[in-house]
Amino acid sequence: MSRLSLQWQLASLAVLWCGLLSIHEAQPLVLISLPVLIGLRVWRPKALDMRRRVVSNGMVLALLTAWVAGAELNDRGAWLAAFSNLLWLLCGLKTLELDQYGAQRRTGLLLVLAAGTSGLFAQALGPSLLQAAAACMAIASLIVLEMTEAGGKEQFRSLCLLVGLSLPLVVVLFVLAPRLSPVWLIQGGTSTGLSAELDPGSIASLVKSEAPAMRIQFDGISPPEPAERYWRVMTLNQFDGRRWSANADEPRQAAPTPASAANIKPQINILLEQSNLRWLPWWGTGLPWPSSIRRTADGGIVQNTPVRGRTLYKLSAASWNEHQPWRFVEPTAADLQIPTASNPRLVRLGRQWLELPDTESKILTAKRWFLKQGFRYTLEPGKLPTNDALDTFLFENRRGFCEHFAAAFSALMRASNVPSRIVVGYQGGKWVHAIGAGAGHLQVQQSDAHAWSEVWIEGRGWTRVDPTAWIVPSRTEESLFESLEKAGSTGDQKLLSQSRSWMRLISGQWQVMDLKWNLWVMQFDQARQEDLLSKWFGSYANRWQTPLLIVFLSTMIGLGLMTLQWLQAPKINRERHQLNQCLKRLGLVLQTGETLEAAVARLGQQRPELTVPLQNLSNTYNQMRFGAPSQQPNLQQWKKCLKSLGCKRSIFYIMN
Amino acid sequence: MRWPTNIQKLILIFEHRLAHQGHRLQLNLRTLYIIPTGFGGLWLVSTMLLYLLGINSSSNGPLLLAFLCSGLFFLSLFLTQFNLQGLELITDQPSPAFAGTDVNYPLQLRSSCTRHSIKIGFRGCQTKVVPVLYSGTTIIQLPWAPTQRGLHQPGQVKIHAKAPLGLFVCWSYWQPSQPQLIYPKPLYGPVLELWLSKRNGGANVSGTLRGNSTETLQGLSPHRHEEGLQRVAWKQMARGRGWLAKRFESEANIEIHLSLDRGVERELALQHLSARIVELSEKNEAFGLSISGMEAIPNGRGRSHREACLRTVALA
Repeated sequence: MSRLSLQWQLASLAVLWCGLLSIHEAQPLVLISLPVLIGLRVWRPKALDMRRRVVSNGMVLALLTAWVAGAELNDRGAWLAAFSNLLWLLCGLKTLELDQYGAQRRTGLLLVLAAGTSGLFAQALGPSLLQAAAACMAIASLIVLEMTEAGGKEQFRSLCLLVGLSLPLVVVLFVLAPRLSPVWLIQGGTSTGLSAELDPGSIASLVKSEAPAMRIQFDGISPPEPAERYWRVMTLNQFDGRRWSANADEPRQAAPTPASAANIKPQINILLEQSNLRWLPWWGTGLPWPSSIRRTADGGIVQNTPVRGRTLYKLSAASWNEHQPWRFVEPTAADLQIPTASNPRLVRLGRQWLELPDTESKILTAKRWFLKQGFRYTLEPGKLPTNDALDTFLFENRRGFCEHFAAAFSALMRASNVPSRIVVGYQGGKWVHAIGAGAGHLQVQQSDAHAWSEVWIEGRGWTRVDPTAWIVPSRTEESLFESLEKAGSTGDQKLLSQSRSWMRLISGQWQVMDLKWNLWVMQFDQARQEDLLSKWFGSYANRWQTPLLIVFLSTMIGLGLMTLQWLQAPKINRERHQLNQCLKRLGLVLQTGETLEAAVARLGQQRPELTVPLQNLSNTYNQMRFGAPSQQPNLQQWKKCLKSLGCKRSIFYIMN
Repeated sequence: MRWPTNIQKLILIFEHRLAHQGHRLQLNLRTLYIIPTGFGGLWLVSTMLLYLLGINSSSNGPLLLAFLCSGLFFLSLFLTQFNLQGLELITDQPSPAFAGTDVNYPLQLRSSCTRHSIKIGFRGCQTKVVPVLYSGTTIIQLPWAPTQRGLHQPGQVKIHAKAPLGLFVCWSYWQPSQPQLIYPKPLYGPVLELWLSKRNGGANVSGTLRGNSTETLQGLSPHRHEEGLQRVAWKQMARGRGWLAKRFESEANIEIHLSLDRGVERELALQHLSARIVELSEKNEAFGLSISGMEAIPNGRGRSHREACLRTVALA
């Protein structure tokens, strides 16, 4: 066994573990055991007999069964997570039994696989770098294993050579290899952020995460004012007295985008994180692209499948003040429905406003009422009872966050016979400046999730009313952190992690790189591949894809092999080459076994006038090559010797 | 892995056809063979798994890693071959050795660049690992175990290497044509010894003897390490005179002439002769050798005499 190889593998495992920390799906058992196993191997207690097989086949089978049984088998995503967790744990266990060449080799491969599977769950730049590092270390361990006695420099050179020469192949394959469509679709993980239903009473406390929800690039248009940054996701108009949900039929009525919309400017590019919803955030105007995304009559955009991973889409021709047809879709009976059996006090309050002349005055009255009651904005409103939840909120505890306010306001409006609904989405976002001349982007976090109301006003259509903004006016202009302070809920501030400004700057730049990594590499799918190929090779790209791939691959391989040959060729140093050239010019060919002195003497006999300079040359050369470092003549002297024989000291030399 | 006998035979025939003969072999495209190892197969399966995972989860991370793995696989095909390509194997002059012992067969490896983890050995014998082969000429001694006397070619050399990743094994077979002389295995037993008296010029004494009686003590001289413990003058040493060796002289008028004992089977008799020659040479006694059908070797002593005698015995 090779100790160095083991060290590489332990390092690889440690890096892999660091990457796993950011993965939601990594089980606590794995996260705890891996460092323990690494520690055990480094410490090597005597009681642990390293020569025994630690992971027997039976044990693997038992672990596998237990693990898979723990996962829900009908959910492929859960199964995959279970499989990956097992793989990560096995990597740790395998390091304990490393004493044979074969076992050590397989562990190296297992580590490469483990790095790959962790790439299924984390695709941001940081985790990707960690995965790449873990894989490279595992490959290094394999090289060390095969070239045990070679020096560290030689081993490192081999690693660089192998990985460096493979990278062009990777790029060619990545860009040109035809993408197969998935055989089966793997669901990746649990959802964060928005959900398809809104049930304010069921949530006792809300800890908001700073995980990014989406990143938005503006092309040919400036970003909206902070107070106007409302990103609609879903419209909820079904109210059952407690829960608000979306109309299940609504997406079916959605209208597709015309194909011509793809290149219309201005454009907004949106990189959305996994949300597990079919609805995508948008501004309410513009044409979504790709055309598989459709606009619904209630002002949302949907795609056919839920968002299972990072998704990139764009909105064409989106300007902020454009006509929005969905605003004028007449309300239906569902938009007025309110179960009279529940929340009797709310309904009674709403009925009092029935007499008011128009919708605007009803909204104004409601606003005054809300402000008078002394509501408190907090992330810990406590749980509401199952029955009459909104009554309890409005008249008893008066503590809530955006969902409570929006739900209560919409219900009040319905009670006073105004068509009303709830919109969930995001509000706000941070502007992230790009390094250098880059355009920067708007980053929206999960903590920017928001809910607001929409009411039908004759002549103006569906109009946004944000009751949360009445209670905490700053909420829509500043971040949640500041608005909590203004609302007097300083205790809630602790719930939010707040980083220092210089860290925010660094993290901002990192976010930019992360975005680029995602835009260019991680989101490079079949569609983008086709786009790129047609841009480079015109409309024939599809037909020529395979030949192109072959041509590029063989070019890369050819170049790689040439590099290898060049690196492997025996090298003559520069001075020797110059000497050879000089002797060749003088017509002197060194015979096998002949020393330089003898050859020079031989030539000196033929051409006595050259004897002295030749001897000088020979002495200088020998001193340069074989003399002690302190006695070595400088290059000037060598140059002079060459010059005296009429030979120039060429800068370029060819290796043979 | 154990194959059934029939398949083993087939493999053997195949390997014989692959083997090259001669005094020197340059490893090149025509003489090198390469296939993926079992680990290479495992590597490919893992690459495929990563590719499928990447495709099906629409995540490019595993996909990139799968491409990297396939790139490494492809490159290591060439790198493994380059590790052996251009290496020259040249036979050296092997020194004679006795049957039944571990015999070393020298080979010159001539390389123009540094090579790694080369394994080389005769079929069925221990494989020698050369962790790093530096450029220049390296002589390595390959062990093999001959059982028969005579001039023998030690069989097929297999040279193989898996560096740098162990995904491929690159190998070549070679039958070095330089034979090695193998003496019969020394075995103590009856030998026909003809004692010729110089004085009366004829054979008057003969018998199957292992005699020490022909020696007379001539004197003492400082003991050399090579002489062994047999000749140490223990009595003198006990008296505190230090390490001394006894010097004997054969009786000048007796010549020993060795030949085969007809009463014993021929191979066995040759082994006895071999042992006797070794023994007499160790004592630095003069002896001659005659075996029917071979040229008789007159009385003599010394290293070259010993080798000539053993050679005759080996080739008889």
